[in-house]
Amino acid sequence: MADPEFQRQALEHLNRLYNLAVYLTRNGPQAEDLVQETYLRAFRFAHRFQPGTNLRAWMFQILRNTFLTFYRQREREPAFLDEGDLDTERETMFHDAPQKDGTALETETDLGRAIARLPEEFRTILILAEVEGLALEEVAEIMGCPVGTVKSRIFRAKERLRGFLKDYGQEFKS
Amino acid sequence: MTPDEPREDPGEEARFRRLLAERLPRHAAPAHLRAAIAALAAPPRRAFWWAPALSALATAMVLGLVALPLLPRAVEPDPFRSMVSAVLSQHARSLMWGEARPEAVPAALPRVMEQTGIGLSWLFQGDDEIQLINAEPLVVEGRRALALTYQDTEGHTLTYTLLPGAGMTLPKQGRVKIDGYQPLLTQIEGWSIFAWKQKDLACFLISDLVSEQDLARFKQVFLKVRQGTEPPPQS
Repeated sequence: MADPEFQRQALEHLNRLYNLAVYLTRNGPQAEDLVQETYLRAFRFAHRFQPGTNLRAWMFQILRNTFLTFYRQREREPAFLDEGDLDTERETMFHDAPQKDGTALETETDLGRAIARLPEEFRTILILAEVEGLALEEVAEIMGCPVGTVKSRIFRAKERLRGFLKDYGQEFKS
Repeated sequence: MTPDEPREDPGEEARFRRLLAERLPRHAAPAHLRAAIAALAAPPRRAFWWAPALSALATAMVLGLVALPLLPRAVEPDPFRSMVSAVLSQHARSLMWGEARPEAVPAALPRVMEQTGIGLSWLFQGDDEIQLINAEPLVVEGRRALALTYQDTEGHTLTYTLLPGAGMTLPKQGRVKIDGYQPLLTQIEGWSIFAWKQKDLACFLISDLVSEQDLARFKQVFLKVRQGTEPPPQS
């Protein structure tokens, strides 16, 4: 089990991890489960974390891997999307509609719906880079891909968002 | 930026960032979640998030076993499927209540082999990417079995179960070719399972590595386990 200092440092990233979990699962209780599972694994395997390296990136990696392992198979979302694989019909995720008990945390704005329609690879990168403000190098470390791929995916994510927002009759304007 | 990388209007990018920052809400972790995670740090180990589902599954299996004799038998039981179900249950049990005791494995192995009657000349004892964390005797479908538990660097737990394979026929459907071997690879209830026969042993390797990317890693683990394990010569 992790030492108290490691646990304290890990807990500093709770809000950011939870925010990404909400955008990935689009469901409050499942986001909480995902974050709990992430911390459980992090504490359990704390001895494998190398002090002096990026704890935040390590935590995000665990969260994403846990999501991909336990959740994405339910979504039946393809593991990788080809460049031209823009299938706007494949937008249904699990818990797509808000739950009756009001626990779904999906933002019901057009932008929120458009973000939810993005493939996981694009959605995660967009949230990390543009919402959380992480450096591209750190995003690349989390995603396990080159920085150039991160840039490319951000660009393509924006392109898709533009298309989705047009579907809703909106333009990309601030 | 290289010529191949996408280009974007700087003003457009700034507008985009402002749009995301202004309109996408940030979700703060609820206080009870923070408290629950703080509690995770203290032993005993907390149940996984899917523990309720597994408990429900176990209850359903018990109820099913109770009701089974009352049902008319339409088909003969398939030994292979029965074994798969049994080793899956053991894997779930290991995940929930198994202990990681890598330091105790070397001392435990001779005793476990003696208790199960499954003596191995060689077994895969882990490497930099995957660690052997437990070895224990089991009874699977009335047969004494040897279960080895591994964990990889990302926290995935894998169970390698060996038991006498007499009477068990490995189905041909679902076989995959891996470096000259032809194990059966299947996915059940979110688990990936390799099954194969090695001399007179039936072998099962189970993990939660199910995505395309993870399956490639799982195949590498299969190779390590398969090549690193050697039963004694058949009598």
